[in-house]
Amino acid sequence: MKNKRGEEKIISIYWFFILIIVAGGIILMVRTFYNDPYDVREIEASLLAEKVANCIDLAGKMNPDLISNDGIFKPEFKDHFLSRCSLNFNSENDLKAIQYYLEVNFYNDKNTKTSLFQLVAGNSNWKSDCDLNDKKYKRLVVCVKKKFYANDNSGRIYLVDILSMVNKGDKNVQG
Amino acid sequence: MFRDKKAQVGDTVTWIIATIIIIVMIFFFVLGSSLLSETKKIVGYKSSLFSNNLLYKNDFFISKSLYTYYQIINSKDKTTLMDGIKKLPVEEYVEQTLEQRSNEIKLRLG
Repeated sequence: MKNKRGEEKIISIYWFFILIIVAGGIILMVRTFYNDPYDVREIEASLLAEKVANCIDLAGKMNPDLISNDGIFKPEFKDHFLSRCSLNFNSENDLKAIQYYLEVNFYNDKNTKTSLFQLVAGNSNWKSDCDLNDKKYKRLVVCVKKKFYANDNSGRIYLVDILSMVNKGDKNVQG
Repeated sequence: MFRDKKAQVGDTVTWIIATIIIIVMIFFFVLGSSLLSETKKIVGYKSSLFSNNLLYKNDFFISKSLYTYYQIINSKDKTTLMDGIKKLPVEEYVEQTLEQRSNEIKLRLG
């Protein structure tokens, strides 16, 4: 009878030990799985490019604030590019460098080598990193290149080339 | 007495093996979760983790170009523009083809 009681005690200690191991294992699994952040920079860069495209091109016609009826690009738009497109590149921390870069080139649809006009905003320091292998260097910037055709009020067609860049490696990538 | 001892040893061995199995299983689960956990890159909008349907019905930039295409009157310019649109890089996660999207926009614009 006494022996049986002792045995029960040992078994209950054993079960408690197993419970701790299983619970610890589950906690470890969840922690390992969810500890790494989600890298959303590609979507962020795409959304940024889409926002700029919507600012430049309004339902198939180019923004009249950007280009005149004579096909002349307006430098005022270039000077106030971010505010005209309702964008704010200021980082949450004043000491931190700007984490975004945008470059928009306008080409004649027949000559896609010489840019007719360029809009630039943000931090261009990481531009050279766009050509590097993003699988090998995960912490580097994510670059998204988009192209589309737009026409002005006079029917001239332009190829719009957008380069959208997001850094924010410390928030999106671990290790 | 001897029989009792034998039964006890048998029981203990069972529990030890069970414990080892549990620990090994947990080890593999932790290993699996650490392998799956590497930074998850989100590139498209999926309705669920296992869904094949992405919410990108069409390519945003191709659509923009197609709206431009339907605003051009000159047929020569139209042909050149369509050739250009066909050469544009297409988003990986889209349901509609260029022709389908073109027909949809054509219908929408009347």
